[in-house]
Amino acid sequence: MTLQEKTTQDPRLDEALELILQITSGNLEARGTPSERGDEFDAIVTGLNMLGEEMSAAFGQVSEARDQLEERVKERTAELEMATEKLVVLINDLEARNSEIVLLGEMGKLLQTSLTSDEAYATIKQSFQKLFPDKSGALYIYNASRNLLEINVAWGDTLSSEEFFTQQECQALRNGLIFQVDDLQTALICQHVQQKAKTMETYIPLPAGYICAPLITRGETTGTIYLETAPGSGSLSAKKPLVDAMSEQIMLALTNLKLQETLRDQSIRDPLTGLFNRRYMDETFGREISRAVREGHTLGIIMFDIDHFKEFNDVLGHDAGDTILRELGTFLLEQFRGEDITCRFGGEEFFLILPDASLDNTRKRAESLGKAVKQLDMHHRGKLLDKITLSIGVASFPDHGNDTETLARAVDQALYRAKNDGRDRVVTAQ
Amino acid sequence: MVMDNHIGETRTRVAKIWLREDGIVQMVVDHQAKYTLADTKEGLACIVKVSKGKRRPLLADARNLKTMDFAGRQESAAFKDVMSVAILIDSAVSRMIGNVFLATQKTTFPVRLFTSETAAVEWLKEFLQ
Repeated sequence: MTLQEKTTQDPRLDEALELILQITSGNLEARGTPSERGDEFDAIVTGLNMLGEEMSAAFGQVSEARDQLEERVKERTAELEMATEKLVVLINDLEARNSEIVLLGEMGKLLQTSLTSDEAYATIKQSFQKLFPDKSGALYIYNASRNLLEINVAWGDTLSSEEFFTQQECQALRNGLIFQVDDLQTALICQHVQQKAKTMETYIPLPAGYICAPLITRGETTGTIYLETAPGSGSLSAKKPLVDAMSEQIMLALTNLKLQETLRDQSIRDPLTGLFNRRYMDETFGREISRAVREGHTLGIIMFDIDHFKEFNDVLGHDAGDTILRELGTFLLEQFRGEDITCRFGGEEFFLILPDASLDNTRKRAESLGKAVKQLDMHHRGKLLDKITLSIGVASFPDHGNDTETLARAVDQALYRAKNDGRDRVVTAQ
Repeated sequence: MVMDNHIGETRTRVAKIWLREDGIVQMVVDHQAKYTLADTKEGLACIVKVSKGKRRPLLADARNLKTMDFAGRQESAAFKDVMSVAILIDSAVSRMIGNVFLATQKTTFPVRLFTSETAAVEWLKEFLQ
């Protein structure tokens, strides 16, 4: 019997064909059962079974390799994601630092070009607001008597630090070193940092952390920078170097400004009386006339001389003369308005420029000055000095001229007449 | 393993194995034997034993073999303590098993299929010279 004859009669053909279909359609676990005959059909089934086993094993290896590869890809992807995250953090950090450096540089430039302390304070405030947008803080400077530090400029929504405090109440000022607190619950804190009442019922909570950076130049403390972070507003722990760098720039700028202001003050003020000097008067007289012309205002001018001043010097000595000049200077600074310009013209002669004062008003003020000076008690070495009197000339713009020369001559002539007419009087220019 | 007719013959569950006088190890698989991994391991251990510490040619009479599972085939192909293997086949099933084995397994030894025992022995003897 041929194979063809066998197959047409043997039902195992269908089983073998079904097995082939199963395996080729992907069912690699499909197996046939050979009969006991051990003929060609059984050989085919056995061969198919073996083929299925081989393919299944190969597929298993491929699947395992694929699973391993997928696992490795997953691991590498996770590693890559972590590395990317770290890189992003690093880049953000670098960008933030770069931005901080730029802002720090800008602050430095603005501070260097500040002409007054107020300008510098405004720059400091703006710089801190830009660099620490969600933080509050203040610049404290010693008051004139140097017993208290007081806020000169502050920024932010809340401030837990007192408006005034002594050096002893601040750890940074006590030690002369930047002082940082990251956890107010556990750390030693400055006494000027306290919970403050906002209203009768509500309190500004204590900050989460703060930095005090002292401003010290050549051993002398000028003040301190205070910066705080509210609970939930992020830590200041990484910002210490930046605050340190800022405080250094601020310290240098304020020291320079103070020096400039001192020099400027020295150059325009008479050291004995504290009044402006002749140089300053020459600079401002023309400017005040121009302003009066521009604004359509009047300008009063008073020039006076201390009567018989030479006799004080001759009889009581130059020390007594200096005392009189000093006392008179103090008196004038107290009596005249901030916008009035009070100058020691030279020797015992004084020159006053009164912006926006009419001739009539200027004369009245001159008369009241003369009367008040006569009441002044002046002491020298514990001894009451004789009362002084003044010879006073009065002129005004535009009544007596439109320029410095004409007006100065007019008031000088009026003073001369006051002296000639017997002193201790007020004479208005003609 | 059970000792049988030939000198030094050893029996496993599905085969008998002995060392012939010409130095060839012979194995004869029982009628309708279904060779599993365990049978393979037992057979290979037996071959090592009868080889007496030498690598020898193996005449594997698989004419009566009915099936041999995948793990068994892999284990056989990886066997190292044999010089060469001649597989005797004649039935349709044993031919199929022998041919699929050769086609799918990478053996560590020379292997050929024979339908004549004489030709198989002649070929194996070449390895003894």
